[in-house]
Order: sequence, then structure tokens, then C-alpha cells
Amino acid sequence: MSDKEYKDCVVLNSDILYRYSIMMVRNHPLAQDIVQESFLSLWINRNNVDFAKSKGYLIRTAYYIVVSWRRKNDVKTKYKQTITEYKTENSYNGVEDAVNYYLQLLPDFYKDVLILKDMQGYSYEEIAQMTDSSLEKIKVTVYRARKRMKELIGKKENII
Amino acid sequence: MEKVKITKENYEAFLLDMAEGNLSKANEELLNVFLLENPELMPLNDEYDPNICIKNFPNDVFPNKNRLLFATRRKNIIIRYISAAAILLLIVGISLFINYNSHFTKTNPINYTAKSQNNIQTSQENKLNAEDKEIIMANNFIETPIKEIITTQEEIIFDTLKLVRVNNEIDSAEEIYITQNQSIEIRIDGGNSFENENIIPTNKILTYETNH
Repeated sequence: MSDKEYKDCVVLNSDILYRYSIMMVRNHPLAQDIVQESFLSLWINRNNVDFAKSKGYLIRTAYYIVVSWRRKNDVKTKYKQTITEYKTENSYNGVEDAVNYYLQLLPDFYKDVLILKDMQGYSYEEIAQMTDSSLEKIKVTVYRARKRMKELIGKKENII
Repeated sequence: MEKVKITKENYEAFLLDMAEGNLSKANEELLNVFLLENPELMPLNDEYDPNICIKNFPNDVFPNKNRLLFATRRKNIIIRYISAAAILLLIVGISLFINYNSHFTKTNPINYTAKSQNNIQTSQENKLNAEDKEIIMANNFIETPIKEIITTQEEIIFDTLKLVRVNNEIDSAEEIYITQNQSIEIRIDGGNSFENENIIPTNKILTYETNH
């Protein structure tokens, strides 16, 4: 990847990666740090990454950073507080609030897979490769996550 | 999904494929057999809905994208360092040059007094002919005295300067050196020797005047 392609990559993917990071961690300053670290990693390894695969590289890097961050921090104890802060900070309407709120109540892996599938549009195979999981596990996770979301929300009309 | 054994751990993956219409006939038959054998795992009719998915995402824009352009920032820093180093080298070079020239002047305490035409002694045998002089002047011949050989602590011989002006005539010098008493002695080809403090080095020809 040339320097110019890297700049194009920043223009094309920085906002996408930022939104993805926000969905994952629900914290704007932290999401900005994740984006910056991901792009720094891409910049360092730009000679080994094709421009066509740069978005996948960034998403995968951000995912690993988030997983690492979760391990280092006691996320669960701060979970509700973070969600409350986010809701206060962003004036989402009722429907979006419901989706985002219930999504945060899912287990981390369920949430990660759903975000990768629905938000980024990755195939099950790509998600399996990205998360170092088997294809079966990803499919089972998606099935259980949607089932759990439906249980939490109750009616699908609330979110569609 | 390929035809594999369905278990309690992976049967939901088959249910997902079936809900999304991606399950092969063979695997569908296997799944039905499995569910008949395990009726407690039989999904409810509305248990799974593929329409339940995340559709609303944040519209946030990453602030200050320039901080992600590490290339430009780093190049600017490198250019600044190189520029600073070049300026420093230039200053050091100029300082060394000036220092060298001033040192050379100090080692040759020559009296730059005006020459007296009446005191110039000539040596007709060693005069350059008129044509040679014209060629020399036409080519803007410049030969600055350079100390090359230090024979003793007292004598510095100028070996490269070969031209002197004696009595307004240009001659070639055999040897020029500074004696112990800081005067300059010039030996002309013919064997004549002149020693005087009133030697004026010019940028072209060393001019010599004598008190004799």
C-alpha cells in the first residue's frame, strides 16, 4: 500500500471504524484511541497490507484491541454506567436506544459477532477467520444472539 | 454447510442455515431426524427471526482525521531535522574556512606597507618575456602562497608560488620561504636571493620590494 493509498484509506474507513468502535465500547474517547491505534498498526504494516484488504485489517485490529481492553479492564462492573453515559451523551430516539441498549446486554462475543455481521456486513466465514473461531461457533452465536435479542426486546416491531 | 454430524452443540448452526434458506436437502433431513430424536431442542415457531438485526448505527464522524496521517507528519519532522542538520553543517563549514584563512594570515606576519619603486632590484636574466606575461595575465593566473614544506621550526617554504614581481617585472621564483626573523626570502632562478620584510602578496603575483 502506497502512502497515497493509505491516505485514501483514512478518508474511506476512519468514520466506519470509529462507529464500529463506538458500538463496541460505548465510549467516544476510547473509540478514538482504538481508531488511532488501528491506523497506526496499518501504517506500520502498510507494505504488507493490500489496499483492498485494508478495511478488514482495520476492523480486525480494532476487534483485537477491544478484546484486549476488555481483558485488562473490569468492563462488566462499569457496564451500566457506560451505557447510561452514552445515552445521556447522545440523543438517540426510542427505537435506536432500544436496539443499542439491548445489544449491550448481550454477552461480549454475541455482541461482537452481531456487530460484525449486521454493521460491517461480513460473511460468517470472514467473522470466523477474524475472531479465530470455527464457522459452526459463529453461526450458533448469531442464532443465539438474535434469539436473545428477540427475547429482550419482545416485539420485532420495536426495532424495525 | 457440509454434511456433518449434528450435535447439541452445533444444531443451532443448522437452524440458522435453514432460517436463511442455505441448508441443503441432505442436511435438512439430518436436522429433522436430530430434532425428532431430541424433541426438547425443537425450536418454537417464533423463536428465531432473521429480521431482528441491528439497523441503526451511530452517525459519528471521526474528529481531526489529520492525526491519522502519520506519513505526512513524520515526513515533515524528517525534513525539519535534515534542514537543521544542513544549516549546522553550513555554519561549521564557514567557520572552519574563516578560521583556516585567519590562521594562515597570522603565520605570515608580512609588512603590507606601500612599496617603493626606487628600491626595487631587478634581475634581467630571469625576467619572463612579454608574451609569457600577457598569457599569464590573460588567463588570470592566480597562485596563492601555500605553505607546503616545513623544513625546520624556523623556516616555512612556499613551494607553489613561482611568480614574483621585482621592479615591475614578473620573474619566476625558485624558492620562497620565511626566515627565522620573519622576513621573506626569495630565490630567483638565476641564484640571486632577496630578503626583505616588504613583500606584498597579492592575489596574483607576489610583489617584492627591497631596501637595497
